[in-house]
Amino acid sequence: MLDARHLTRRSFLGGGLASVGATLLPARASRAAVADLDFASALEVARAIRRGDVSSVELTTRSPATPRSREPARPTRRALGVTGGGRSTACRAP
Amino acid sequence: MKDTFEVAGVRTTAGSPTLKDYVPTRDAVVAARLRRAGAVVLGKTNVPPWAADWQSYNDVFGASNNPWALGRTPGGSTGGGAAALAAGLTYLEPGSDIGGSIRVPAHFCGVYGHKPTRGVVPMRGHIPPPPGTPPGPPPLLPVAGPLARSAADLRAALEVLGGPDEEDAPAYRWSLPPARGTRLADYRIGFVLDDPACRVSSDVGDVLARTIEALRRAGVKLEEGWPKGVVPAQQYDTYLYLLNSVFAFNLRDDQVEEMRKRAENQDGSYAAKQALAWTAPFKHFSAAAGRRNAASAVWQEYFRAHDAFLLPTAFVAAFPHDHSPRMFERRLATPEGPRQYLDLLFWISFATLTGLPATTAPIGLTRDGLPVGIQIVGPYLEDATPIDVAGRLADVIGGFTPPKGF
Repeated sequence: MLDARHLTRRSFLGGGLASVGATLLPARASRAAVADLDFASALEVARAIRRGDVSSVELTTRSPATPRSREPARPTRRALGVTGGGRSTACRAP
Repeated sequence: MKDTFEVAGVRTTAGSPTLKDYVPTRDAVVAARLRRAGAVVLGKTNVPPWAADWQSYNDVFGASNNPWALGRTPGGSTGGGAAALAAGLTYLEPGSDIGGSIRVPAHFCGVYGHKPTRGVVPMRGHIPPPPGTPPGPPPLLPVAGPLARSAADLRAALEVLGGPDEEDAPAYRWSLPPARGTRLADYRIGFVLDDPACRVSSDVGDVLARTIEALRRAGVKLEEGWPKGVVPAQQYDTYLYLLNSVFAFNLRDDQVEEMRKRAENQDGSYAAKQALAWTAPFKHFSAAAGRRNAASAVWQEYFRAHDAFLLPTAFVAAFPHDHSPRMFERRLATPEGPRQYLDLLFWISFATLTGLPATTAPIGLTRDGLPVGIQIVGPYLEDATPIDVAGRLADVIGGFTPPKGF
């Protein structure tokens, strides 16, 4: 069991959380199965949580990590073909 | 969570450098209701400054890209949220919409978006207006509503978000009337896929036409044409007048004088129309508000004999990033030639002017592989009907699909 007195934020997010999850939560879906839920609807995910297939902790710790793993090499403005270079000033529409 | 909704203890910037260090002490109604329903706020999603563009870039966080084509915008103002849904980074996103800010990003990113009936979802805690603005009655045009990867999620989210704010709650209740149909063939649906006032580009038009054919094959009772009594160009002008009026409150006196001169030359341009709305006597505003009520009555009459009305969400699909500062001067490329940027207001204007619910649902891809969403307008307060049509549409034409590579 983790000793919270020696748990830094970094170690908690990096590995501690997984340990806590493994200790406190019943056996859950594999990492691949959690990934299968990336494009599920909110209602499907809610049902999966209710069934105990996945925990909200597994989902919420995966989601913030996903953007970095999904982001291609950081494209430059030029690579993206961005034209112009200032803030929009016309009307406050949308 | 769209970065225009206050979340207690979490930086909320509305994309504006002036709010880059603003940390609210209280949740917006939308945030509070989602949390009370068990939602976990994963983070904030990017928006244009003050939610005022169909692209989501700012000097605080940079630009959001469209996961379907990184060189293109995901739309705005709920652009970061629509991109996050399409890319599988979140499950639900609250948005807001006065000029298509829910519907256009949903269309650009191939996800679902619902602009609720005006006043159903309280706006308290949304920026704009600036933080600290006292709560008041439902605003003239803007609304808050959900984006999601399924129509069923839209409905579930709306049931969480809807209902009067705390000042009205002692006396008022809100409940969502059931959808008018239980299968597509139950519905009587009107549609318009193009209009001389805002031609739809051929690549988007092709996808819309295929959808109508699929509905016809599914046995839907279809009727082409604008509702009797609707003159689109007139209703659009009324919408533009009211929209511009909303943003006149913080003009300085010297700007008003400058605008007066600009308003004298009414050449049909968006700039001239804006100048007129910002400087005309109040009686003009009252007249426009009266025309809005008349427009609402015409649409409501239409919905006595029809259940939904289909129309484009925008005349183009997601376009390449353009961060040039003057929105009036931006142009959008289409197969038929360049078009004015602000024409993006046209197709979303009818539901906003009248306060009617409108759902945008993904219906396929253009030849270039960009998503297209159709807009489904429903009867006043009967939000479940356009959402249900959107859900059943997925059965005949397909619903959300992830972008390639995600």
